[in-house]
Amino acid sequence: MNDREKMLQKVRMYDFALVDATLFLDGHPKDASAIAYHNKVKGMYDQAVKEYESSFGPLSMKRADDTARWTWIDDPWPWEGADN
Amino acid sequence: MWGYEKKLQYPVKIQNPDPAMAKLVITQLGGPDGELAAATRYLNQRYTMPYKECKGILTDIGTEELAHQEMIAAIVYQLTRNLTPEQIKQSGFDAYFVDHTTGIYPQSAAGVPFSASVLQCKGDAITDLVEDLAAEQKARTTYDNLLRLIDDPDVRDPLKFLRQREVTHFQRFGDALRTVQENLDAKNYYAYNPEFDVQPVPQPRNMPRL
Repeated sequence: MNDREKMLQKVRMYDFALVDATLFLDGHPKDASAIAYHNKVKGMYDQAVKEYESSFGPLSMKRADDTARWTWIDDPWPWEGADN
Repeated sequence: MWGYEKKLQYPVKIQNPDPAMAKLVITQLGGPDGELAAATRYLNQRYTMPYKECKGILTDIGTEELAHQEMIAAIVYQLTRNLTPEQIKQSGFDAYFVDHTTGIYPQSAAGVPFSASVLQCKGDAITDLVEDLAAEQKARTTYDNLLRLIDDPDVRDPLKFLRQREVTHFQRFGDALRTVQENLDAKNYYAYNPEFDVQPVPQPRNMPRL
């Protein structure tokens, strides 16, 4: 696993925890421990995204901040199996 | 609205092409119990869903299904890269190839194009959620069947992840159905449709006293 892959895997891991916690919270909106878990993971997710994007470019085009060249379109795209 | 994130939900990294396997896996994109059907079903059912918990569950599971479509498409794409004409003929991929080359077309393993006739938006909360529970089980069975036929660990790994998500979604739709039932008159919950009737169907005036 190269650096890019390792950092992206971290993003994916926290993203997954958020997705799963969200689905649970949708059906149990008053579960305080699930809300606390969600909030804890959200902090880790935000941090992992920041670290990844500072080295390898935006995961969302809304966070693109290019000046000379539009890098959002750069390969690899996720389905190409490079280090998605 | 939706936004795209430039990553797969779970990694797909396949070393060896295998067009025969691609022809099977593609059913989870465009087949009767595939991810396209799942996303279409949930994201359309949600508009008339009366309870906020259920609107959230349909929206968020429907959104995750879009990410699963992308994973299946990535598997099919990576299984059909760099093929020779001999591989295409020997693997039985030739019929697909003449129609689509190696483009990713939503169809079933048997070659039937995707159709919305595999799903329903009935406009009744109980009816739709029971369909959704069944849909998750049908998709889980399909993943089980694929895992019985596929040996390559590069393909099995993402399929096992997707299979597990079907199990989780089944649990979450169980939460949704419980929410609907708690909001209805427990003695009367099959008597009316909570998406359409605002109150229980009135009794006929001349109903004989028992």
